[in-house]
Amino acid sequence: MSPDDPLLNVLEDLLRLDDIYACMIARRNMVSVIPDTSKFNPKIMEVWDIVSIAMKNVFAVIEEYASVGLDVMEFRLKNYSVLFFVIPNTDNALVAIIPSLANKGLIEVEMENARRRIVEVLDRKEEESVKI
Amino acid sequence: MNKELKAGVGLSRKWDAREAGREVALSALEKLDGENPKFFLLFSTIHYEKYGGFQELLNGIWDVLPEGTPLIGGTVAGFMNNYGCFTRGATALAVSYPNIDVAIGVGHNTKRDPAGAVRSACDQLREESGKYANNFIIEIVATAVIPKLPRVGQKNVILSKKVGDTFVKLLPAMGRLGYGFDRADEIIELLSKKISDRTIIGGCTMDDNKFLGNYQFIGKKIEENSLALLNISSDLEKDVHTVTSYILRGEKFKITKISKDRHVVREFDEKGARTTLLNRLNLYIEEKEAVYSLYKNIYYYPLAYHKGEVIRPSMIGLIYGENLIFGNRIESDELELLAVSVDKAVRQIEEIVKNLEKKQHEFLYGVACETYIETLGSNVYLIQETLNKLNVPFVIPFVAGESIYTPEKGAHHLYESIHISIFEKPD
Repeated sequence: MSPDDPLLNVLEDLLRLDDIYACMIARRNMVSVIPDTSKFNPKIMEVWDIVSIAMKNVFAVIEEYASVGLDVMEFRLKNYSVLFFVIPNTDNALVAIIPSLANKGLIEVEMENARRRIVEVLDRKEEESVKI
Repeated sequence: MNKELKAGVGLSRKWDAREAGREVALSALEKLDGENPKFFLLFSTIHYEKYGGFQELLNGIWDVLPEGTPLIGGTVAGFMNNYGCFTRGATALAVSYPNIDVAIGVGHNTKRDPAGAVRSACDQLREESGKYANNFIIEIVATAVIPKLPRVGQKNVILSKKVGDTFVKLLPAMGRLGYGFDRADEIIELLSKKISDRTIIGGCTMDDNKFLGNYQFIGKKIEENSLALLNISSDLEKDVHTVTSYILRGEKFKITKISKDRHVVREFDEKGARTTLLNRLNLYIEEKEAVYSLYKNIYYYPLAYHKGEVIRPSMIGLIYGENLIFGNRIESDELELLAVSVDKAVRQIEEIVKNLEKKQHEFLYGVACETYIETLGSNVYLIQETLNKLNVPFVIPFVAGESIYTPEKGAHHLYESIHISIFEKPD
C-alpha cells in the first residue's frame, strides 16, 4: 500500500479528528486499508482484542444485509463505540472507534464525508480499469 | 461595474489555518468573476485553534480578500453549503452586486453588558446606514462558555448539592469574566427595539459542542464575547422562513423556586429541580470529566415554555447540585417537555423549497441549530440535499442558539430551529 494511496489519505484525514481513536476500511476476516496503527489512540489497546472479535460478528451481518441497503451499524463496548459505514455495493465498511461519550453526530457527518470520498476513489479506480 | 449579482460559496477542508483561509477565500471569490465582494461571511469549525490558530485563518483570508471588504463570522459546530455538510473546515459566502450598501456594527462584552454591546453596534450601523429601502441584518453573537471554576475547571455537571450551590453563587461574577450565559435572548430583544424596521437572523458562535470557548470574526480581528451585525441595504427582495418542528409532550414541570435573573431553576413542585427532572424522565446523569456527556442526554429532552403564541425551547447548560442552569431566561413558571420531530422539520423544508423553486433566487443565508447535527448525524444530508435543489449559492452554519426578529412576528431566541432568508432581484 503506497503512502499516496487515496483511500489511505481519506483514513488519515479522519484519524486527525480528536475523537476518532482508530479507523480502517475492512470486511469480514480482512482489513482492506488501515493507517499506520501507531497513529491510533493508545487507549483502544485495552479493548482491541475484544473489539476485533465483535467486529467479525458485525461483518457477518453486514455481509448478509449490505445488498438490501444496510447503511450504518454501531455497537458500544465498554467506553467505546464502533461505527460501521457500509460502502455501497460492497461488503466493505468504513470502521471507526470513538469514545462512547463523544458527540457522535458531529463525527457521523465526517464519517459520511469520508465514505463519499471512498466511493469516489473506488469509482475512479473502476473507470480506470475499464479503460485498460 | 457589472450589474449582475454574483454570489460565491467557498469551502476549505485543509487542516492548516493559513492555507484553509486562502483556499476558502479563493474558492468563494472565483465565482465573482473578478468583481469585488460587497460582503464576506466566514464560518469555521473550532479545529483551527489547534492547527495554526484563527488569526492565521484570517490572515489567509486577507492574503486573498480585497482590502476593506466587510467581513463577519465566527466558529460554529459545522455548516452546510452547496458542497455538502461538514463538521470540520471553513466556509464563506461572498456577494457582489452594485445595488448593495453594507454596514458593520460591533459591540463587546456581551455577557457583562448586553445593552452596551447592542447600543455600540447599532450606533455604528446608523452612522453608515444604506440608501436602499430593503434592509436585512445578519447577527453573530458569542454563545455561553462553561465557567472555569476554582479547583474544578470547566465542568457542566456537579452532583454535590453543597458544591453546586456554592458555584451557582459565583455565576454572576463569571459573567463579568466572560463565562456563563450568552444573553442572546436579551440581545435580540434589545436589537428589535433599536432597529424595529428590519429583519434580523442571528446565530451564536460555538465550538464542537463542548462549550469551552468560541470566537467571532470581525474584519481582521478575532473577538470573544462580542456581537457583530452586518446590515445589507439593497434593492433585493427576501423571503424569510422559520422551521420549528416542536411537539409538546404534555409532561409539565411547575417551577416553585427560580433565581432572580430567571436562569437558575432550583425547584420543581417544591423539590430539588435536578432530582425531579431526572426521576420523571428516567434519566441518569454522571459527573464526568468529559463536559459533553450532559449534552448527549439532555438534547433529546428539551424543555420549553410559552411566550404568547410562541413555544420557546430552553436548553440546560449546567447542572450544579440541584440547580438546573438554563442558557436563556425562563419567562414562565411552568416548563413543558418538548419533542422535536426531525421528520416534520425535513418535510417543512421540502415544502419551503417546493414553493421557492418557482422563483429565480440569487443566494441563501440561514442558521440551523447544532442539535440537528447531533441528533441527525449523517442524515443531516437530507436537509442539505433538499436545499441544494434550489440551485442557489447557500451557506447555513450550525449554531448554539438561533435568533429571529421580523417586524410582524417580533423577536425570539430559539433552539432546535432553522431560519433561512433567500434573496432575489427586483422585477
